[in-house]
Amino acid sequence: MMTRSQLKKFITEVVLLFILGAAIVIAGYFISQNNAEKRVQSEYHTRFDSVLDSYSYKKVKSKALEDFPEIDGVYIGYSATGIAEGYVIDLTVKSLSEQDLSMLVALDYESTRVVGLTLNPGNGENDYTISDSEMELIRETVIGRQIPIAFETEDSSEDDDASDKVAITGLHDGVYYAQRLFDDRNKYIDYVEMEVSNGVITKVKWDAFSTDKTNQDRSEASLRGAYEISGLDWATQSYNLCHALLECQNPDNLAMKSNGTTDIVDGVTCDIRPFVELAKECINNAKAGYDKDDYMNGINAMLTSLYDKNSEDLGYTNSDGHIVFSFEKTPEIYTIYNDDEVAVGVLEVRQIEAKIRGASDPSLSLPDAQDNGDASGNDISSGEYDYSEDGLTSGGDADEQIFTDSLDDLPMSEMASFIEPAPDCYEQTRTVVKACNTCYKFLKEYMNWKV
Amino acid sequence: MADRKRYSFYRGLFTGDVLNFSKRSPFVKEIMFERIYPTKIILPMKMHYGVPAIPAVKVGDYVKIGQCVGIPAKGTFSVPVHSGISGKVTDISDIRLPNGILTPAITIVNDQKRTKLDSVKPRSGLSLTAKEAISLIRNAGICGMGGEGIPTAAKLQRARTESVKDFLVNCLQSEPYSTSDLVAITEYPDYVVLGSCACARAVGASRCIFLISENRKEQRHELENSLAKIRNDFKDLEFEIKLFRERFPQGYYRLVARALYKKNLAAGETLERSCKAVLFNCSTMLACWETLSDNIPMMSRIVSVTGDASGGHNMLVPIGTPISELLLNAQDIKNGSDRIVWGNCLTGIEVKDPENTPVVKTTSVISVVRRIEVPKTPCIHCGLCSECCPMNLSPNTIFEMLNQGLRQKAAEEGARECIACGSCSYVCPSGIDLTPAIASFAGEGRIIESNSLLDNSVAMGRPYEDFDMSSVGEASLLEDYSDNSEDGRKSASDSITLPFEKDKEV
Amino acid sequence: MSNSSGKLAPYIHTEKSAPYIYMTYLAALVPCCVCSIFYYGLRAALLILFCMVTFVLADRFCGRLSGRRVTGDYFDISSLVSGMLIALMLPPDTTLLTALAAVVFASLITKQVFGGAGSNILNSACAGRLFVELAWPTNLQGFSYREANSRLALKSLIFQQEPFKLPDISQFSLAELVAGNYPGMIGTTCLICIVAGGIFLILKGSMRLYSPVSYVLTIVTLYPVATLIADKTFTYDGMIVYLLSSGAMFVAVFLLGDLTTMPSRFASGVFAGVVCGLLTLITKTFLSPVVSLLAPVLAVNFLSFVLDFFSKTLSRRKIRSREVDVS
Repeated sequence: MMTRSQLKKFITEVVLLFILGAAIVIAGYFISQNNAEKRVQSEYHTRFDSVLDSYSYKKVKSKALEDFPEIDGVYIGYSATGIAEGYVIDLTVKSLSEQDLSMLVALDYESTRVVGLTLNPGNGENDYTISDSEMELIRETVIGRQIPIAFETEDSSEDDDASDKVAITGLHDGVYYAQRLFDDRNKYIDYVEMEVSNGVITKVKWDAFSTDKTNQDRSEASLRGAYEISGLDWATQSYNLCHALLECQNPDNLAMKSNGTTDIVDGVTCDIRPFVELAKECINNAKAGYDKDDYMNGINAMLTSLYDKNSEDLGYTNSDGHIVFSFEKTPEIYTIYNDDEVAVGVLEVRQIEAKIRGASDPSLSLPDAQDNGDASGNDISSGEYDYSEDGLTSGGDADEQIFTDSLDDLPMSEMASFIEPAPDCYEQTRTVVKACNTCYKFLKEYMNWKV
Repeated sequence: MADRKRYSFYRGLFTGDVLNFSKRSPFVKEIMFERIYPTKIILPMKMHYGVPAIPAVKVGDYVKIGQCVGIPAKGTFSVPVHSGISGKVTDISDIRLPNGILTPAITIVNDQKRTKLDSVKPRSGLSLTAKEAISLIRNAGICGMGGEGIPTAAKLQRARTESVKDFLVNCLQSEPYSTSDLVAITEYPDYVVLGSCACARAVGASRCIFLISENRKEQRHELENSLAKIRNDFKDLEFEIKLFRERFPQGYYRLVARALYKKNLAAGETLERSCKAVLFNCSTMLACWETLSDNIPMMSRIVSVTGDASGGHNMLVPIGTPISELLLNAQDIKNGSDRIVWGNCLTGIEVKDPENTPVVKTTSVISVVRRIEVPKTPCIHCGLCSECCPMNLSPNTIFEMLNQGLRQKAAEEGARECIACGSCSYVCPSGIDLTPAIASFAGEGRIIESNSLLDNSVAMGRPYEDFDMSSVGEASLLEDYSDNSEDGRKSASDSITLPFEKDKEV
Repeated sequence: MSNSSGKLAPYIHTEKSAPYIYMTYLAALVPCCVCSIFYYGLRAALLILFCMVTFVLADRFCGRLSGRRVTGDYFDISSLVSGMLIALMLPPDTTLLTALAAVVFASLITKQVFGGAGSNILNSACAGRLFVELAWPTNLQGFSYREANSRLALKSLIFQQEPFKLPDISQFSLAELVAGNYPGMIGTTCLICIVAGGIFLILKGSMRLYSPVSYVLTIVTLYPVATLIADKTFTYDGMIVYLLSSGAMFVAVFLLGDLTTMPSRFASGVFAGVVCGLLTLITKTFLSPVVSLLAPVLAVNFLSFVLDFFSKTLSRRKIRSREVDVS
């Protein structure tokens, strides 16, 4: 068909054409890419300026997007110095009447608060329309809130008011304290300090001191890197957990699993068993009005019963006033045995003290109900605890709501903000909230909890 | 030259084509120009357009260089044949030339003595009348060397009667690979120019125009130099060199007419009548001047042995030299399987028997080309054939019509116009043999057409016939060339211009 | 003529055989292929290969079905060319099934029914592409671009993707349009690649310039008129954008430059180019872009058949009249 030389020449030409084509295309690509980038950025600017005014935007490519067909695009806005400022999410949600609402939601990068909301111009016949004035109202309610968002009315109307105000009633005001009676593997003794005012837990501190008095406390050690656990550093986890307790007011609400971890508190991966136990002890103490000083006395009483000396005499008091003593050598003093001499539980210090002193002290055995009225009358709005926290159940939720109630497939326990629907446009607000919550769901999957 | 205009006809094969004609330019410089003395020659009696000459020698006769061995029969349209070597006649028998012509041929074995006839010597006096000159040319057996083979004397005579203005010298050798005409110009520019001038005077033309390809700069300069030398001697003539684009087949008279005079000659129209011009090949002019000045009859010519399987050789060979002897002298032809073509490789005829196939007067080139297998595919209707057809035909359509037996339609499409240049077959990407099919159809038709032409030319040529009859007796005296040429000079008899004969010419 | 044995003149032949011409076409399309593979990655490469292979198979099949004898050593490269042309005119997210439909239509209806390679009066690639455009317009909307575009994605070859809303091309900068950095048919976007291919074809003599040049000139000169009538406005930018982004250049070079289906003579070639440009401009206002681009080509293919006939008749009449004068 063709002579060999002809074929050779031809193949050379083809190779040359190939190289030429590749050169043209690649060169063209890089020459035009700059233009393309500029054009795309200007396009983004025209689209997003109303919701998030950033220097540049970058589209997010993520597998997570595949699970969210309603999301048309997720963009991250950057400042001129390249710092991420926020997300812009372009999505289309179905309203309650199954109409399409296409809108842009802008979220703050750090706090995932809604910073901007705008409607995309409709592109189909099945559009859900929200008038400008309505949108203005909705903006007022929604902007500034952290996602996910739920309606106050929706949730609270369904619930018994009394049940969700204070998780645990009958707490006496004061500072309560509980510490473990034995140290852990790292020679730390956990303690929890809790402050109750108006029947509400207002301050919780979980830390641990070392039985080796020369060592730092655990939180300090973790911040300095001397104490390392998986996930965030222990101090932060402890802080988060304490805040979580502040919000939920009941250690049971922390949803501790059998292995001692919890899923519902962001950034807490450590074993929270000591905390939960100690917090419960504190709450019991609070119910009993058994405050920190009483507790210290209790421990001293234990020491005295065993060694006939109090902690100061024994030299177990450290500079912070904690009694640094592990009762591990004398487990009989705090262990509850059944009839077969098998350990079935642990006694609290208060109970031990009572046992030591004989069950004669009425303040220990009788629950003090005199502050009940105070506590129940104290209206603790869940909204007061918002914003600073990371998607935690608000304190207003009842225990049983955690897994049963949900909004937009999100458990109520995850809700970060609660709002009133904009006046006279419940459905519109509801649709916008749905959009916001869809954003939350996406971010949750995309960020893999690393908010 | 002041005239920078490039002439060309429309279409045709371009030089830029794959064939790359310009490749020849370096060849021309390094042309091996050789004189060949073959061991034997085979002289066919019919090498021209007309009736065969009659052998004038017998087996066993000794002939000298320049001796006339074939004389035209009385009253026929023919030219004599001369021997280019000295030696013994060994055989007179019929041979068939590659183009199918059956003709008597004289085989002469060379004695290598190169004995010349005494008369073959420079002529002393050059004052000749037109009639004398034409007669000389006729007796020298000169016929169109570009390939047409029309006796030059007859053509000159016709031009004279048509009183042409322009005398065109065709230096446009555009056939692939062939360079014989160009060599003629390079080697003997003065002869070509002088021959042209003499013939131009003989026909009474006022302008002498050299047609040359723009790529042939060397030849052009040679011509310009020669013209500058003789310009003063031919004050009555206007000289011009016209540059042509290098295209095939530029040398064909109808295409020259189209290029120079913007006239489309229909079949049967002549350049002389329509354009008042006459076209001669430059090699013919060279031969004419050799005859006029040196008294050399047409017994040798320059032949190119060339092709893609061979370098470019140009050889001065006696007419009648067997092709095999030519090839022996072209050392670079190694591959025995190459195709030997009698003529150029676009329009020539393959030679099966190079031993017995001679070079004839019209053979300007022997092509040695590789055998190529052109892939045969169905026609893809690319239209390249109609693009290059110099006669503005659509070969693919005509071919299709002929295949389906629609001969009338094919004729309407203009199939008869085909000049068998071979361009369409050459370019056809599908490897379809368009040219043979169409040319054979056109050839059949041309017989009819030339018959009709014959009628015209009989009417045209009639006046001479009576006149010619008176000199027929002298024509029969052509026993010996020398005698005849002397006679011819003295008698100044005009040539016998007989009407074109019906012939089997391809 | 009496030389009955052996081949007749001419004894040399141009190197430009039919397969060679088609191979130059293939070579000329290489830059466009590179472009498509660069921008759309693996699936463009697969699409091109698939179309070429299926076109060859379809041709073989049809040839066998119709009982036409195909000489053994003769491999019809025009199938490869047509297959490649079809592939290059498809959007990047085209399923193989759609491509197959185009190829089968092109091979069966427009090529083999007319008698195989070279005998088709319609450009088979053009017809095949137009057929799928008309039959399943929604299947040919997949122009994934930028973020949505992954060079390794192959899913779109099997599953029909969501129609991708093409961005407004007029927003693209000239550099992007020239370089082909915008969503479009996989092979028709890069102007420089197309022009490079065209120049290669011209150098190889496998293309006639009459129609392409007149086509482009017609569009350039009449685009203002057409848009003024249709939209009452005209911008030069709009014209350049149209010329670059619509695939008109690709059509001009590779469909109108075709030897087989376009007129071979100067006058008719120019006429065909002008007509094609005119039809495109007229139909562009009410037909989809691809249809308005390709349908005129087919119309002109038909026309060229007639045109060549007419131009011949005219020239013949001239000859005849001259013959009459002579006699």
